[in-house]
Amino acid sequence: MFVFVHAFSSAQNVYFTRTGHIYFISQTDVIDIDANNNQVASFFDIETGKLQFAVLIKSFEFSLATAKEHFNESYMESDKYPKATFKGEINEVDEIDLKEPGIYQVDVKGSLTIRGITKIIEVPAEIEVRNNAINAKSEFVLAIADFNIKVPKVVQHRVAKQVMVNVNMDYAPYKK
Amino acid sequence: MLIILSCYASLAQEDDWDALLDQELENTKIIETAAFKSSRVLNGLSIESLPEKGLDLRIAHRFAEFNTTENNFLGLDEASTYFGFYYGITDRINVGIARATYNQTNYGFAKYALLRQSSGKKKIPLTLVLTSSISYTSKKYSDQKRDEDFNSRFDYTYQLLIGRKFSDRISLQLTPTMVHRNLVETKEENNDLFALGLGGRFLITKRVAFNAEYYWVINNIARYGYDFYDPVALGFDIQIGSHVFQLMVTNVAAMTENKFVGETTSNFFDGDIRFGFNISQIFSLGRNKN
Repeated sequence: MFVFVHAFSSAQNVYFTRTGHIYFISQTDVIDIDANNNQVASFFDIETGKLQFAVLIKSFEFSLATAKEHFNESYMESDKYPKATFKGEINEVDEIDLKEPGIYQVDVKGSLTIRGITKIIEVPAEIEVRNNAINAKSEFVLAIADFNIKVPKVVQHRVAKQVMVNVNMDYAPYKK
Repeated sequence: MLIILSCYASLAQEDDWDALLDQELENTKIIETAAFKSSRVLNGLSIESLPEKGLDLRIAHRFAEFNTTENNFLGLDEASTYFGFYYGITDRINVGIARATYNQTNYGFAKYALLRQSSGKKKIPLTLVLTSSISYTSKKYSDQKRDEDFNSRFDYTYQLLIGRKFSDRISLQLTPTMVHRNLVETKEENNDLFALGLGGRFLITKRVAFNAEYYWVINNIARYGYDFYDPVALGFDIQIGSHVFQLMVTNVAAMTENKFVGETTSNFFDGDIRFGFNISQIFSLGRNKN
């Protein structure tokens, strides 16, 4: 009976989206290369503060005509490493009540896996709890070398070593 | 007991998330791209389309046959050349124009992707592209009547490109082709030629692919006793940044569909082989909204 209650209550704390948005941009003096992805899937448990993301590399759409092919074939090897994932949690989960409507500044810590390489990252995020919906935003910088992304010498001036990443997720309560 | 159970429940929930997210990713819509590195397999058009606002500047040469006698440096002293621009009006509609020295041909094509191989909720196993090209032969004919017959200078080619990227390495393309020539040289020749192209690529490294292409020309017949042969090409794509270099051996001298399907006079299997290359440089004219 207790277990049943536990399972039931946890389901109400779970939020989900499959249309989350990730944007990233590589800026150099020569060229800015940026991409959007509106097919990010994610779970967020507002009671435990646990978060999980998954996205397919091939679903990033670039504004520059020829960038997508290079991104997938040369840099990300997306046939070999089709997805990127993040598994983490909000540090301050004990101090704040994410069930109360309002805006919370938090830190998210967890493991980010890109190209099969897992790195622990800790990034600031802003969480807005609304009635029956949650928005989570974060902006951070990733070093592409951390994920063993190699840039050929001839194009090194066109690809930034640090890529700015912007995450914006609109969650709704998860219904099975 | 309760603690164990509730731990188990929370563990189960996380495992669930992994599986559920993977399930969600399977529904992600992805259009397969880069089945080939270039808009041409080697000689013929490929299923690969330029993205919207992509501009492809193309320069190509086919040299003389290796086995032509005399001192002509493996055929490299003589070349049939081609330059053109291809453009992505949308991701599905491409157009191109070109000038080829072979018969001083002006050439234009349009290409429309009816279906694009994609995964996700709606799976499409193949890419289907319709192409239509027009060729205007501008060379001077010594016969004045022939020279002034404007309509006779046009050829039209229609192709259905049926392709699939089987894996990141292997792509294949089947190309039913029809060439209509307003005027043919001799009475015996057919105005309409039918051919079936077969092309494929094997990606060796990220930036180097091996391509092979063959056109079976079904109803071509000899002209003045000289046979025509099926176009064959074997070559490598080498990608350096936004350049693609296609280096090949082939029996084809012309670089427009109507001419290489209809007028290939070299026999690849008898050693009438030429060196050839296509150089493609793709530019982005502006940015797309996405």
